[in-house]
Formats: sequence, structure tokens, C-alpha cells
Amino acid sequence: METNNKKELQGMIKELQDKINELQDMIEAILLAIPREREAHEYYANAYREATSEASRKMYSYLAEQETLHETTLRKRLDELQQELVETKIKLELERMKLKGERGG
Amino acid sequence: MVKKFSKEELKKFDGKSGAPIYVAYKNKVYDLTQSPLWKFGIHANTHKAGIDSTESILNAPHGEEVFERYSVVGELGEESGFDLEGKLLRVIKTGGMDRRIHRMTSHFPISLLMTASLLILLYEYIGNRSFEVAAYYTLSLGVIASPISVLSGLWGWKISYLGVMTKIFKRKILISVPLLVIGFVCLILRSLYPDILVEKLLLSWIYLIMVLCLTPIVITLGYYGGKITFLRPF
Repeated sequence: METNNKKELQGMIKELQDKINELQDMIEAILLAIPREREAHEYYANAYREATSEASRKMYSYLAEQETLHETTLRKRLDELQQELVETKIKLELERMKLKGERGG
Repeated sequence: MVKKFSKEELKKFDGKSGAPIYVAYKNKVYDLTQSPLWKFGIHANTHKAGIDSTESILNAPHGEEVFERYSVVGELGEESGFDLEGKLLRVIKTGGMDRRIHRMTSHFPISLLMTASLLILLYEYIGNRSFEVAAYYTLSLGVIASPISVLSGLWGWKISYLGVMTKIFKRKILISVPLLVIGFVCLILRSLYPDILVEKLLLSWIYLIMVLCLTPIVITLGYYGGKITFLRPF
């Protein structure tokens, strides 16, 4: 019975570690993309300033705004993932403490 | 008499609950209540009314001419002085003082330290002292460039990547430590013992191996840098 509990806890710990790894990868992917969105925005904003026709200004303005929206979306998702990572790490610590208790008991 | 607005006072004109929409630009306060682009006091889903937009307009896809259509209702009272903090922030945010600085500085230690290794190998193979001396000068420049590159990398990480620690940044920071330590030890050794490679002592081999080690270190750092720049995170 005790061995089953231990196995269950170990399985849970493994699952949480995998989840942490996955979350870290997702955070990294989003983080690396954020400056690209900002630089793309700067690129279109500069093109807007250089543009001479109304049609091109309209296009650059739209594209620049899209890049800002992308950055906002990425930052929001980053915050959510960071929060989830903290929560998962706390869960992992709790499971580890439980396992330690099982071993000690 | 022109009305003076303090920053606190300006915040009240945010377009909420029917309030007028005022935005400051270069100390002038404009009334944008009639603008269809500032509905409910929000512009382009990002900018809020009731604040000074002088900095944020630099990143906008339009210039200051957009204000010409609207009437000036006053001036910002507190902002007549030279805003050094705001100007510095603008340079940092928009003047390329972010990850782009590291993209430039990082190439110096990579190329110089790899060249130093190559020159030392040429000296060992051919035996011409000029190669060893050239290696020392190249090594010196590479070692001096290394902390500049590392600091600009840390700065870019803080500004562009919000200082969030992930696997790739952790690896880059960890690998930078041996780069700096080995680089400076090599420089000190060669400065103290100019004939270190001429006399074949144990120290000569240590120096030789350490200089050659700098090449895989800078290649690895460059490899991770490339992954970050070209979006190859895994």
C-alpha cells in the first residue's frame, strides 16, 4: 500500500517536472519573439514616416498597429505562463515534501 | 492667459465617464475629444488619454502633425525644464540601446579570440615569432572586448527580454564566466612572461591550451546568440 503511494507520488513528481520543462520552453519561445514584434513595429512606423502616398501610409499604419497587438498578446501570454510556472513549482515542492514524509514514515 | 496643467490634473481628462480627452505633447495640451481614434480615451488599443505622449509618439506610426487638427487647451505646467530622465529613457528604448548593441559588440571577441588561437597554432607549426606576438596583440584586444560584449549582452537581456531567466540565457551567462576568467588569465600570463611559448615549460602548455579553449567557448556563445537572434529556441 505504502509502495503504491510512493509510486503514485513519484509519477506525479515526474509529470510536474515535465510540465515545468514544457512551460519553460514556452516562456522562452514567447520571450524571444517579443523584441521581433517591437522591431517590426519600428520598421513599419519608420516606413510610415517616409511614405508619401496616403495608400502606403494607411498600409504601414495598419501593419504597425498589428505588430503592437502581437506584442500585447505575447506579453499577456507570457504573464500567464510565468504565473502557471510558479504555481507548478509550488505543487512540485509540495509533492516532494509528501514523498519525503512517506519515506520518513 | 494659457491654462497650466499639472500631470495630476491632466490625468482627470482621460475620457472616462464622459470626461474630455486631453493629451499632452511637447508641453502643449490638446483636446482630442472629437477624435474618432480616441474613443473612450484609448488610442490604438494601447495609449491612454490624460497623459504626456511626447515619448510614446516616437514609436507611433505617425508624426506630431496629427495634433495640428486639434485645439490647444493649455500647457503642461511642470514640464518646462529639461527632461533628462525622459530623454535617456527614449535613447534606451528607441536608440538601439537594447539587444542590437550586443549583436554588434559580440562579434569582436569571437573574431579576435579565434584569430589569436589560429595565430598561436601557426607559431607552433612554423616557429616564426611574429605569429606569437600577433597572437598576443589579438588576444589582448579580444580579452578587452569580452567584458564589453558580456555587459552589453546582460543589458540587452534586461531591456529586450525583460531579464527573464530561461535555459538559453542561463547557458550564455554560465559560459561567459570561463570566457572572462580564462581570457584574463592568459593575458596576465603572457604579459608577465613574454617568452612563455618560447621556453617549453609546463606553464607554456597550460597557456597554449587555455588560449585554444577560448575558441570553442566563443563559438558556443555565438551559437546560442544565433539561436536567439534567428529564433531557434530549442
